[in-house]
This record gives sequence, C-alpha cells and structure tokens, in this order.
Amino acid sequence: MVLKNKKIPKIGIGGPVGSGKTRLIERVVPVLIERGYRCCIISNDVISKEDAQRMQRILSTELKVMPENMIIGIATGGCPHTAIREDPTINLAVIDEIEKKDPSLDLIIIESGGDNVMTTFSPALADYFIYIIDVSGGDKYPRKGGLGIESCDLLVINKIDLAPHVGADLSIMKRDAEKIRSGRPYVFVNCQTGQGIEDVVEDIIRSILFDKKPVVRKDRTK
Amino acid sequence: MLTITSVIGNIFDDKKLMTRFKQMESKKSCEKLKIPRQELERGRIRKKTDLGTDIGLIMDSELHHGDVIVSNLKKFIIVEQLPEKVLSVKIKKLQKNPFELITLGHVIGNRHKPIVIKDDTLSFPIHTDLEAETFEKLLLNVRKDLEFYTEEQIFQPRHGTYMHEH
Repeated sequence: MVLKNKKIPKIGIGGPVGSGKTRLIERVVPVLIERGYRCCIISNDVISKEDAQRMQRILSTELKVMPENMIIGIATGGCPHTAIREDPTINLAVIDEIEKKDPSLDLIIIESGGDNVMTTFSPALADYFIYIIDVSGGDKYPRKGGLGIESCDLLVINKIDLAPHVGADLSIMKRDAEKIRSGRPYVFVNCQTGQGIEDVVEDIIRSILFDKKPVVRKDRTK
Repeated sequence: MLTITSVIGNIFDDKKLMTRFKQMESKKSCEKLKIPRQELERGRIRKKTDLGTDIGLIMDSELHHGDVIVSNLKKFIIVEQLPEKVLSVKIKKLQKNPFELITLGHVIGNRHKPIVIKDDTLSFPIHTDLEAETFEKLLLNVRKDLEFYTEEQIFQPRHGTYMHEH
C-alpha cells in the first residue's frame, strides 16, 4: 500500500447507524477547539451529505467554532466500509487537498457512514480509531465482539441515559468491554449531556496528538 | 514520551543488530514494543514497551517484526509483532483436477484474507475458532484432500495485492 498521508494526525470514527458518531464529533470538536487545537472534519455518508450539513449548521452557524469549509461531506455510495478500508482513495484525495491548503491543522477527523461490527479503518487512512456503540442495542453488544469493538483504540458506549428504559445493565457492558478488549480503554458517554466527553478528548490528546501543546489563537473561526 | 520517527534496522537483516539484540536479551534489558499486525502500517502509534518506556511513533513507512527503533548505550528497543490466530490448510495430495484448488482460493479470496504459502500449506488469519468451523464447512467438497489446523503465530503475509479483513 503506497497511499500514505502522514502529515496531519488523523482519527477515524466508526460505528453502527444511529450510534452517535456525528453527535460525538459535535461534542468533541468544540472541546478540542476550546483547548486550542484546530480540526477539520470529513464526514462520509452513503447517499447524502446530511451529517456534514448538520455539523456545518451546529459547529459553524450556531456555535461558530470552525468555518464551514472545514467540514467536508463525501457521499460514498456502496458499502460504507469500502471508502474507509478497501479503497480509501476518495478520503485520501480530500486529505491531500486539506494538507496542501492548511498543513498547520492539528487533527483531521474522518467519520464513516453507519456500518456493521466489523468496521475498521485502513491504517493508511487513520492513525487512531474510535468505535462507538450505544446501549439501546442491548447489553450483549460488547461481549458479541467484532473487529471494531475489539481492535479500536477507544470504545465509546453512548446513550447511557437510555439504559434503564431498554433494560440494559451497564455493569454487564462494563464487565464485557473490559474482558473483550483485554484492558484497552473504553468509555461510557451521554452525547446529549456531554457526560464522558472529556475522557474521549483526553485520550485523543494523549494517544494521537502525543500531548502536543496547541498554539493559542484569538480567532477560532479561522 | 520518547518520539521515534525512523527505524535503525532490522535484527533479522542486520547481523550487528542481531548480536546486540542477543546480548541485551541475555541481560533481559531488550525492550519490546508489542504491536498487532494490523497496526504496523499506521503513521502514529503511542504505546509503552514491556519495560514501561512511553513511545510515540511517527512513521513514514510500515513497521516490521524485528525493527530496531532505539539503540544507544542505555536502551535497545525493538518492534515485536503480536502473534495471532491463524488457520492453516495443508494440501495432502495435489489433484489432477485444478478446480479443487481454485475452490480453495475462491473461498479464501471471497473473504479478502491475506495469505502465506509455505511448501504444501496455505495459512491465513482468523478472528475466532468459529471462523475455522465456517471455512471447514465451506470447503466440504474438497476437504478430503485437505488438513486443517489452527495455531497462534506471527503472521507475515505475502505482499503485492491490497488485502484487508472483516
């Protein structure tokens, strides 16, 4: 594989449809920006640019934390994992453009379209991989495993506020996540309230940004 | 954190490094950075060695089992690829009919598995033992000439085609 892009650290976010990938980015990015890191987001959708448009509305228009052109939508067509693993050319091409345009960015976040439990990112595309699931699928989810759940750098379990309503036992999910991931990190979050988001940000800063101190900027919209 | 941006050499290619590795290993002071195969291609990795040194790798090219990333008076650190579950298919006798082997290739290829061929045995990584069962069933029609076994090993696939697993 020769298709490599090394300059700006890149994280991949994958998970099933409706698990909260977009919402996680909407929560994580403002915290990263608040701390001085500059990010760009690439959002892969299958047949629309719905998620990118929503993030532009929330992060650019409403929160004003980043310019609209730093949120790029790709309608991949086909199976979502194709564009992030089998043939990531379209994503690599967009990254290439971003790196030429703004090489001083601290981070590129690549969101996959909603997919199955075997989702992984090509190592040529992402240096760090978050897999997100939510409790509404039942507390069996972590123990059933799959490449995404087992091999990701950080497993995020979202919508913990729904647990009592769907009969999911968080202690079972905690026990199984620890077992199946052999001690690799996982975190419970509620993307609606922001609970647990700081833990996700801390792991990104440590594992992929190597604790790099951000450059302090006055104007966050640039 | 110790930042590493290049590889010094590989103990399996460089006799001097192998000698140093053996010396350090005998004193139990060779540090190992253990990495799964799938992560060897990554551009950035932050991990601790088995002796606790915090390493941040920023690489331009793929890592390999046995790569030396630190070699100085105090430290000698190598990349150790983690072993994984591998299913091996031994071909007991070659058939006159090539379609049996084509079937074998088709079944494995359909799952986009990387492979290693050594002598009369073809090997590829599997995720669980249940997957081995599936393969044995899929190869039911040709299995009389095949022998299956699974083992944990450091899997170093044949390169040249783009492969992935799911």
